[in-house]
Amino acid sequence: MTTDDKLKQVVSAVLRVPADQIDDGTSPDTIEAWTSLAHLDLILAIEDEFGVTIPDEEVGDLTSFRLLKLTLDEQAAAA
Amino acid sequence: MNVSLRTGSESPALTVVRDPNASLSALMAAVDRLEAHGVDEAGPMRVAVSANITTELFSTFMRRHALLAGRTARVEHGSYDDHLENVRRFAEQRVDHLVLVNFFDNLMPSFEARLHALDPDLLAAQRERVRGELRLALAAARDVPAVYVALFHRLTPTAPTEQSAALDAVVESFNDALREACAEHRNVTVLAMDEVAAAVGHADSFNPRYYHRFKAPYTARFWDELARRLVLVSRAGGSRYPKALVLDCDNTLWGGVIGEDLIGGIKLSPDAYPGNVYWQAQAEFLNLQRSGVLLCLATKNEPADVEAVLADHPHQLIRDRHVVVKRANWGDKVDSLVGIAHELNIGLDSLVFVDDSEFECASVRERLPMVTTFTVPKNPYDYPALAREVCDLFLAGRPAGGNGSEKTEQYRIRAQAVELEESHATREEYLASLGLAVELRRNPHDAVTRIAQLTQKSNQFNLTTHRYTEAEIADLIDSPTATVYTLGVSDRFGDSGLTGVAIVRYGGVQAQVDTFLMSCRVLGRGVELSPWATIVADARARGAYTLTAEWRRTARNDQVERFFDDLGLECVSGGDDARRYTAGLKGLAFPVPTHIEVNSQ
Repeated sequence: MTTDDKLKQVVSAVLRVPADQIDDGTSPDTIEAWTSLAHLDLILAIEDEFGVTIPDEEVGDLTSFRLLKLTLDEQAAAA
Repeated sequence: MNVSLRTGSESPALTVVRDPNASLSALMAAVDRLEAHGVDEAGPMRVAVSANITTELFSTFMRRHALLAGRTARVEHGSYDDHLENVRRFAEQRVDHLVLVNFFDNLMPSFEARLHALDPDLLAAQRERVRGELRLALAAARDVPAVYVALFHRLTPTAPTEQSAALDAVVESFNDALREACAEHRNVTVLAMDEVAAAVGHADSFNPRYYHRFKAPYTARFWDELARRLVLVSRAGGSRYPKALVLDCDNTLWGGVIGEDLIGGIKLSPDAYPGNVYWQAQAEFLNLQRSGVLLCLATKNEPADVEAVLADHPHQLIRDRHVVVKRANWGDKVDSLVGIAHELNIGLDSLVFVDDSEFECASVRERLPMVTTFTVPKNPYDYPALAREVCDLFLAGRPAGGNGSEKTEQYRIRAQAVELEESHATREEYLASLGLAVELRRNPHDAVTRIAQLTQKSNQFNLTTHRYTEAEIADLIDSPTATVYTLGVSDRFGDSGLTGVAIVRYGGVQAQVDTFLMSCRVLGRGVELSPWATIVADARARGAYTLTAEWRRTARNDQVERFFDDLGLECVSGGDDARRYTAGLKGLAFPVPTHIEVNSQ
């Protein structure tokens, strides 16, 4: 499974939206359930699923699917 | 609920929910899926959390453990650090369980770090604020069936320094304030959060990044363990009251096989492995027996072999006198369990079964999913932990008081009576030989705890299944418009104690039977007919003209569907789920069965 698919699965599970409705533009503006509290669970779930620690300064800023994916790609490149 | 949760054919979602290492997102998705497909007959457990920290992560784990216990949970979170308003709202919404969490370090910004420098008066004022606020919150939560209050603990680990010890002392003084406030309410249980953290490990319990950034100090693992304990303590939301522990013998009560190893060869020595493991398990189970749990044996063995171990093995702790029913035969374990439930007159879902055979356990899980089944671990050294878990299942949340420790004797009396019944030619002869006496009491203040317990626990012989708290029973007893009757039953075998409750409410010219229930251990002897002559006489004396009564269907009370018909009341409206009755009191007579002597006071 690609990072993209896996990430979609996580976002889908935490925010309870079908995975096929998630794309790069998905953000708190497009998904009502993506509240600040849900964002906490989302970051935890991503860290848990991918075995990474998202840099502290980025945690609050990763507010779109595209940004989440970019961060994961950066982490993978750095590893 | 949810047959798929209990049978052998596991869904992939259930496998994930069971897996302690499942990733958070996989768990969330699996919990959603199982909830969507399961049906919780009792309705979801409604759990509310009020906290001075962020607790949203708790929901997933509470729902997880509810599912593992065959229930569903709906979890709501109150506004941040607004206990009084939260509790008011949750009480109004009639939630079933309320969890109050105050995180010590967050009582004031960086409270722990500042404690040493704080003016003692300010500290005392802060403690009083906490106590006062909790008191108000608990008063507002008076009608919530179960309230859990988290005790304070430190964020930083304890260190061997004076400063650290002083900090511990302050935390403890705050906890004393909490405990005092909690002790005023019977519906409140304290939660030792530090024990949860200790079980998980300090480092794995706290997430400093999330705490300092988002006020969310606890990790997923911490919430997982807390939820597990909460479901246990609440007995799956109050839906389950296990009463009897049914034990296999070979490799469960002792190590080895009695039929092959003989009495000298089985392992049960407290001083040598693996005998010490079985000996310890027996000690745990015996503690259960002392606290009122009924011990039974179901084993594929020659009865004489089992008897010999119970009577003669020097290290055997569980003796014949501790065991209510023994089934030693070569038949099916499922039949033995059904027979035990029948003999004790309790539901199969009140049985907990422990056996070392995967085959037997699988067969029981498949055919009797309502029995809670534990398999003895393959490695004997893992057995004590399982025994502990079995004990927790029985003891967690067990209401204090009542006459639990006498229960074994009472059920043994009943089991003996079943045997005697078989030896009498006619049922009438048998009943007459019992010397049955019923003590009927009105509004007994000293029995509030037991009455509330019976309304909470009785399922099968319960006409309306109204569940009452102790406070509600106390109110009814004091009410001028109600009478609470209790039935104490004794016979020549012994005293069964307080085993029946009737509650009659009065309004105008009407006497309404609000509750009538009997403990199953005295059923089948006509005792249920004994209070009605008195109830009718009391109603007449109060000027009532009519008696109304009702049967309301629950999952378990089929056997009393026609009780009021049999009593001779006229059914005025009947459906599948409820039947209503009414009768004019003038000329209404309920004869007391001739084999029962009724004393009312």
